[in-house]
Amino acid sequence: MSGLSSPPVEPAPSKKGGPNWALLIVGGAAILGFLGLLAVGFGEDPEETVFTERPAPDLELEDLAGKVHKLSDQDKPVVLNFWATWCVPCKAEHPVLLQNASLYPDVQFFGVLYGDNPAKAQAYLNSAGSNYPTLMDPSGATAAAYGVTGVPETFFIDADQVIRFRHNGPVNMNVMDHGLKAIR
Amino acid sequence: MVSLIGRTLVLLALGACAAGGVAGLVAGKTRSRQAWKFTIAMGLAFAVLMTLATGVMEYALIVHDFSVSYVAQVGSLSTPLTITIVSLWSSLEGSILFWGFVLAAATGVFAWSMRNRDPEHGSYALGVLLLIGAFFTFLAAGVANPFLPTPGMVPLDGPGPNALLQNHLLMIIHPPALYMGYVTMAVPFSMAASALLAGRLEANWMRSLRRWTLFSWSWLSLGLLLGGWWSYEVLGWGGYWAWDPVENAAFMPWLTATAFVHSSQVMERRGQFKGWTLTLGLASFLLTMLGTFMTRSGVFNSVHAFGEGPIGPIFLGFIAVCLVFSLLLLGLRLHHLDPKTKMAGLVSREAVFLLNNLLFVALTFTVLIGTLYPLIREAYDGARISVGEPYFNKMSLPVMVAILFFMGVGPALPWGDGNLNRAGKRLAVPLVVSGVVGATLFALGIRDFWPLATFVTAAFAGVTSLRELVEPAVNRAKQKGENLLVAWWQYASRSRAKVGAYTAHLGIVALAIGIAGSAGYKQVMDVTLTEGEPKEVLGYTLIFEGHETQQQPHRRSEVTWVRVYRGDRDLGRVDPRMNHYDTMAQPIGTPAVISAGPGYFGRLAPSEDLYLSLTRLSDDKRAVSVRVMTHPVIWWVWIGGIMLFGGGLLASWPGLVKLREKRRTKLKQKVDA
Amino acid sequence: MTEPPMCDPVPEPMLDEATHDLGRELACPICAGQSVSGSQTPVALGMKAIIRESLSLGYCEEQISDYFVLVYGDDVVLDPSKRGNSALVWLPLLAVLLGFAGAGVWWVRQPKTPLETMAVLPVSADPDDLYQAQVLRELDE
Repeated sequence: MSGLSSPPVEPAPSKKGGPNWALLIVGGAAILGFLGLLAVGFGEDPEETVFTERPAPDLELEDLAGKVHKLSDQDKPVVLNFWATWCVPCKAEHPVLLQNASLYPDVQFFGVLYGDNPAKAQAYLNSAGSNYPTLMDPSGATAAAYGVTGVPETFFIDADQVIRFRHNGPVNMNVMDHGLKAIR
Repeated sequence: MVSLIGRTLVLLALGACAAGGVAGLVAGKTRSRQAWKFTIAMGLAFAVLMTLATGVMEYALIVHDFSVSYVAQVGSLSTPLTITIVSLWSSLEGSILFWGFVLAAATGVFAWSMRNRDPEHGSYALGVLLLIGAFFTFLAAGVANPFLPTPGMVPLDGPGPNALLQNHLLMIIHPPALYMGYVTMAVPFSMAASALLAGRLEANWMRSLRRWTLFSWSWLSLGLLLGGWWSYEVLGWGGYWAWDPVENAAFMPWLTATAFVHSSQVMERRGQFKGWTLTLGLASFLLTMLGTFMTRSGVFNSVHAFGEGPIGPIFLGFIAVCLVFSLLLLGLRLHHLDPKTKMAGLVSREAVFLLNNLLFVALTFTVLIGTLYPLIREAYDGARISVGEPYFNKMSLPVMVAILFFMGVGPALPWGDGNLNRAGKRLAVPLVVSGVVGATLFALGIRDFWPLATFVTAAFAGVTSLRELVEPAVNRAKQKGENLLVAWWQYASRSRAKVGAYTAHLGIVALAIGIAGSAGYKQVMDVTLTEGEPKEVLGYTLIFEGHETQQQPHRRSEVTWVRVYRGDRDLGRVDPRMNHYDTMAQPIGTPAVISAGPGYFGRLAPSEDLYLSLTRLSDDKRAVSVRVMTHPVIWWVWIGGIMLFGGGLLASWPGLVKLREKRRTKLKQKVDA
Repeated sequence: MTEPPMCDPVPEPMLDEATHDLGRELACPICAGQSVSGSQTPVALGMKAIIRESLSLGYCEEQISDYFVLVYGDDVVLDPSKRGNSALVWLPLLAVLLGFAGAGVWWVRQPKTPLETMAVLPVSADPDDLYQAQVLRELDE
């Protein structure tokens, strides 16, 4: 009766065995490797991005007045500034861009509207002033081609249509100097 | 004042843990009765002190005492009360305090339950548990101290907690549920460690170990379910699982714990798989620690990342200590445990359990590799890559279907050597049913490989599990001439563990169906709705009825009203919305979800969800861009998750032990007489 | 794109699905882990537009992926095992094979219980259940 209810009888132990050295050595090595990995990974900043020069994707976009502009038709260096009316830092950097555009007539400035309404943009430029064309990118394909992740973002492209410099965030005079030097 | 009280309480808790931890280990070694009692007292003290400390923090949050640094960080006068209470775990320091609180509560319960039991095992276990507690109170008292006084001037108001917290009710229950599962894994860890430290492992301890693990496992299942549900209802991308590093961090211990509750049964009944089982028990907690490290250290940029600070290296140090401790225990102490009994053959439940265990661990390892790979590559050559859903789905799907299949085979095989013929007979009905299901689905047009394979395997496992739940009752009814329902109740109340286990298995079946259906057959369409104009989308007619701006203290919501028809039936008006928080630049949408499909059993089991996510509202507010999705049978995912939770809790409940023991002694007396 | 299209253009009726499929393999660069197909942010929409157009012009999926890697970095590809990084596949596979092999070796080396000496338990009988049944029978008498 009770044989059915108790677990199978255990045989007398042949030998107890000793510490499992194989496990300790292999396990120890694995742990060291694992911890090293986490330590190294922890030391890295996940936010850094590295900039490399590359050819500027061509673009062919209409500006607010209806005129079509093509990047490959430009024979001057180009400054491409992505912006939107809902972006506060964009409005802050606007005067800097205006000033540089008039200071350097040998560089073509373009604004590119990002996720925004052309009528709103026009209204804003009427009041804030504008001395270079603002292009419309309704599908966002141009922004994606350039690798734009947010606004404002400014690209400095030389006369051979190579992106020499890009800046995330609003530009100031220092950034403009640096960028323009790279492309003129 | 509040700050001072809080800090003192945490420091006292740290003291209790340190003293109790050492005392526990000493008591285990020396069998000193006094040291044992002291350890229990310290365990209880830890629980009381942390409860008080958490209470003090909640008080400070509720009264908006901005002189406490954590309140200044996450509190705000404009936050509703419920959110304020919940902001305890909205940011790093508070969540560490909360971690400590849950750990302390578990320690207290554990200490209390141990007071009349095996002092050797109990003291080792409680000692280890208290040392873990010491680490967390150390964090809460030092690096991640929420009670520090606010430096400089005390502000009059604060920024409020993370906007994501304020979006939905689920965010209130998801973290505590997850913590209940996650944090309490420390208990099985301590119990496994104590078995190795003591050098012996008996049936009673094994059983308690399994029950505690089941308890943690159940809450972890619930936490994962709620996380997925929240993601689905709140984040607006239409999914519930993205293989995010943080999701993986909670999933991996769930996998090892599941493997554990199965191999531990072999350990209990046959005395086999001891080393393997204990390794799984230790691993579950280690993975929990790894997960906490990943989410708190900033190593991964993810939905949950709380930012950086000195906490990362400290955590890494603690993980290192735990890893080395576990390895030493396994390497140096395992051979002290009783030798194995003889092994059963291939046609046995043990064999299937071993096989599925291997599959679970394989899956855990795959998820671990995928999650850590970006780090590996970066350490190797600096390349920055990411590993996402396509990879994980591709690698995990075959393994999960295999696990599902063997989950169906297991119950048909006996413990010990089985007979291939008999096994075949047992499996005949499930196989036939699943074949019929497969053929029917194929005929109905469901032909994509993985969904079909999943449905067929789910049917197979479903039949086996259902049979285990019902057959004993049917047999009993026949034997005793009882009414079937009565028989079932009698059976269920005496076999809680079994009922719980097979409920959980059925939960897995439901999950599989829900996942395969919703992932395999969902449809997406981006449409623009103009006010007043009906539009046909994916079998439904949608009418954009209007727009409203709702202003609350902490956010402004653009609410759009959309009426949904299926054929002529009006399914009601839903409100996908876009919430703008003062503290966040990007708005966060709240999708509208209705269980809309024709349904089975009337509306009891909706056959699909209609999901509307607001993309853009036109400037004149007369047109709205909406992403429309249908998710077939997704309801089964939530039901499955709840069954896991319920089944697991039921199986973990110890109530029956004393009753069984009484009956056993009675019978033994009868037999011996 | 740097090279001319090297695959067949995707015909119009299949374009949406093809865009969606490729979009699921690429990450939205500013979202937390979401794919291009799963996100509605301006960046993701822009990328979708590029994918759509490129597919219709006959660019291969690899070419499009390569392009986005150039623009956004290596981490825009969600399944790196499709672009080198084969360790992601063979490491788990190797571990699984070793695990099964190890288990197999262990299993084979275990002394087996001869059938005769094992108490023959009815199939699907839980020893506890059987015992319980006994207990209940005794107690009910």
